[in-house]
Amino acid sequence: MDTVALRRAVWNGSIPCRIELDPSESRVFDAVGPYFISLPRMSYIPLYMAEIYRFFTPFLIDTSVSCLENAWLEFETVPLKCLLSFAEFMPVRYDRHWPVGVLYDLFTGRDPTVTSADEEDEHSLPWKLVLRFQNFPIKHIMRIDSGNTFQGAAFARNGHAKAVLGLSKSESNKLWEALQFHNFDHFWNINEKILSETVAGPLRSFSVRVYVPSTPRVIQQPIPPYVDNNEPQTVGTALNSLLPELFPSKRTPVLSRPVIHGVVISMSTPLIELFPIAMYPDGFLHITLAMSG
Amino acid sequence: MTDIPRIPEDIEGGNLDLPVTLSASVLLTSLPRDGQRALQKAAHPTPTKVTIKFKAMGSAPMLNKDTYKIKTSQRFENVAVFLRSQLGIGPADSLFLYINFTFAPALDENVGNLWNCFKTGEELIINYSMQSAFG
Repeated sequence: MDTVALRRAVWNGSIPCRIELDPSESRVFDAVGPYFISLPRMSYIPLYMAEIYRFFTPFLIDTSVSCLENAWLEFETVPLKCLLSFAEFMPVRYDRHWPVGVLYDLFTGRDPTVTSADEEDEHSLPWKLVLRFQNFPIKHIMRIDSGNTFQGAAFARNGHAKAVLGLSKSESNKLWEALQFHNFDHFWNINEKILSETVAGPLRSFSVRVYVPSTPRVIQQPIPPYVDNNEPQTVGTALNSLLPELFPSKRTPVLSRPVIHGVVISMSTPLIELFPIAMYPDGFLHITLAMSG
Repeated sequence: MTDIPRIPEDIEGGNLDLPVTLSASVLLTSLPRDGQRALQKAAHPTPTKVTIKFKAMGSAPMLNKDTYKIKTSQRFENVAVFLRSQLGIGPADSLFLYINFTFAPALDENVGNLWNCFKTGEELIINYSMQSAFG
């Protein structure tokens, strides 16, 4: 497959979700049915919150309390981390959210190489989420008061900031709309520009986030594209330097296997080839891990 | 360098870690022993100390000492709480923290990550303001 076909495959990846209203939030207790929605892996939950909220609105006890701004989703009583609630979800801030695909891979701890037939019920799709309003998890989903909307602030990322900040107003609006409407062509049209400027200029580093399974630890570090002897940096060499405990070898996944977009990735994949295909809209390569049983 | 003061850990003792889901935690129990041990180690790396530097913006008061050492394992919230105590401002007073004049990190962000990604030289520069900036 060529780059575009691979990008499209990544873009089209989605998680079927079954969303229930928490019975304590419902005027009919558990009599309200679930809402089914397919969430793109590359997208962000707040973009779909209004749609989900609309479905459940007639069943809410008090919509002045259970308003859209107070809405969040949780899986197994853990809030799906968005950093910002819907109200503050703005174009310039989407890099502060965790993408749907990362949340799913991390929170379910699902091993992509296990086929659904072997899986226990609780791990099978659709992904069962609960919509809640009370006791907003302020520490995990940050809410910003309205006076504090530092637009144009968020893209301070190594190697990326310049290209992104260099986008014209209409380009950054387009990028935002492409995410909102999940439009592949519009998104890659602009993203290609960000990438090419990054790649064409002196490429300093890839932004990589690695999630340590079953723990809250996230490692975020710029990774140079080449290692000392001018060999291209691979998934294996990067993980070996970031997490030697789990990746004692640069070539073989001994204890743990890297997962990107729900797929186990070969340790020998060069980042310089992987990144332009598998990067998320926030400019990061998010890597979750499947532990070897 | 040894006379740089340190930011104490867990000033308020609050645990900001996102809880782990049941599905993810049952994985642990089914792992072989070497995998479990490696995961434990990976979850709790030996923290190192890094330097952060506070810079006042606008009308915010200056600090007597603006450079501090902090353990990489700390959360950004500790930095905010520490700065509040140094400035002697109450919990109701607003205080805004930015990295490199550009963005406000999440309170549960790991200081080590921020330092790795956004340091200037060997220092992580934190700008603070009593009013929101860049808005």
